[in-house]
Amino acid sequence: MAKLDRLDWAADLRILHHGLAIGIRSNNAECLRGLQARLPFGWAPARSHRVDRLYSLVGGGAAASPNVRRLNLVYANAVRLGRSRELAGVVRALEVDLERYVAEHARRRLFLHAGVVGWCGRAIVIPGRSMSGKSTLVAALVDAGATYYSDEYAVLDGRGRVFAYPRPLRLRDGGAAVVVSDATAAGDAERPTLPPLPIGIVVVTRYRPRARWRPRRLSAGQAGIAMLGHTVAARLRPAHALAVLRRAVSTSVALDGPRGEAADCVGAMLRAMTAFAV
Amino acid sequence: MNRVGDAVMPRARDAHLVVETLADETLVYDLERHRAHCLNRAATLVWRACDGHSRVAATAALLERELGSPHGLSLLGIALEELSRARLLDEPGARRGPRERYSRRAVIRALGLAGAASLMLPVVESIVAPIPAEAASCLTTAECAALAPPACTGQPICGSTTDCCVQRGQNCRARVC
Repeated sequence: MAKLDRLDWAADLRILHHGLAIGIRSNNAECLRGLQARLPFGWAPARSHRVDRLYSLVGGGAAASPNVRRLNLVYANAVRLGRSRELAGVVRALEVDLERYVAEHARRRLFLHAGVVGWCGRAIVIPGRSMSGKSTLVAALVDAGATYYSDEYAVLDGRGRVFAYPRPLRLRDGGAAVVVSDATAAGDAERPTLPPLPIGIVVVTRYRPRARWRPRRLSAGQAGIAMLGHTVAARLRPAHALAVLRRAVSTSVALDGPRGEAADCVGAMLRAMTAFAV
Repeated sequence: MNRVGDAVMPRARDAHLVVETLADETLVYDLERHRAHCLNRAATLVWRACDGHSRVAATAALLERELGSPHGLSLLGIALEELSRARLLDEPGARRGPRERYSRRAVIRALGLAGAASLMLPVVESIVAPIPAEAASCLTTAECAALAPPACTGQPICGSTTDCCVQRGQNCRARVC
């Protein structure tokens, strides 16, 4: 760490995100300015110099010898997170680690890997693993008039309410991440402040070709355990996770069943939301 | 009551568990095995009665009263089997309650339970709690390759159902995990 500290840092940035103080420094001020636009939604500048995690972004570029090109590097505290010839590669590594760190260590929030939309003052939460089709479903629900909250994390507070985590919605095609929705790609400044919502329904589903969505209703306990299966800090803070999930499921309805094409089932989901929860 | 009814209930395990009680269900997290369990109403009733000194007959009667079923002893046998399998009893190998001659399928068949009536059967649903990487968003192979150990913790690879981002030598690479 002392070696890193001795480098010539051109700029630094300290932010607060879900109660965690994060520091980012770089030897290239321009690079840090570019990074700000990619920070997760909802960060605020921090005043204190004490940080929970310090990222050091070392821009590469030309070396003294004309045939040598320095790699771009990124560190979290003293641990190297990534190295790449492309600056975008290490910036993405920083982005991935920052999201993971906050999701694991946020003290007063619980992060679930889930898509979330708002409808009539309540949230539809769609927990699911990567590639389970939740972003597709979220996009279809937004097209049907629901409010976009997140396609990555459902962020729950101690009362079981869901906060927005609205990064641009990304659909994947053969492994490449593609931004598809202009409505969800607005910058922080343009995004309206979305209020936290109580959960209306939890939709536990996975895509199955030609399936018709005919879900069965889960009990509160089954819903809790289904949500725990997608909770980032399930192993790190199980007592906190169970307490939050108990509150979240006590006022919501959980539905479980495979679905076919997203466009074919969003109407039924919104009707279910109206019938059960609104 | 026969000899089984005179037996003593086993003791519920209470060490290294986090317990959250819902209206009539119980969520249990096993800190040693990182498994989470959901006990339905019948299983919750039996687990609460596992105090090491209550009589099996009394617990069976309690089940009959609470669930409105005349088959308390059979239901108790299933519940203890489920709780033992989930390692929620202190002495899983030396249960003193009814033995597993009451298999779930046999009981459903013998009692003629079907549809909603079978919902009264004790059930313990279990999952393995995910590690953070399992609950993370996927990475492309290029994103994975830009990481350096220890940042690659098994994140899933986009477009693959089998690959994840793991350490390979000094680098992070997508490979089957």
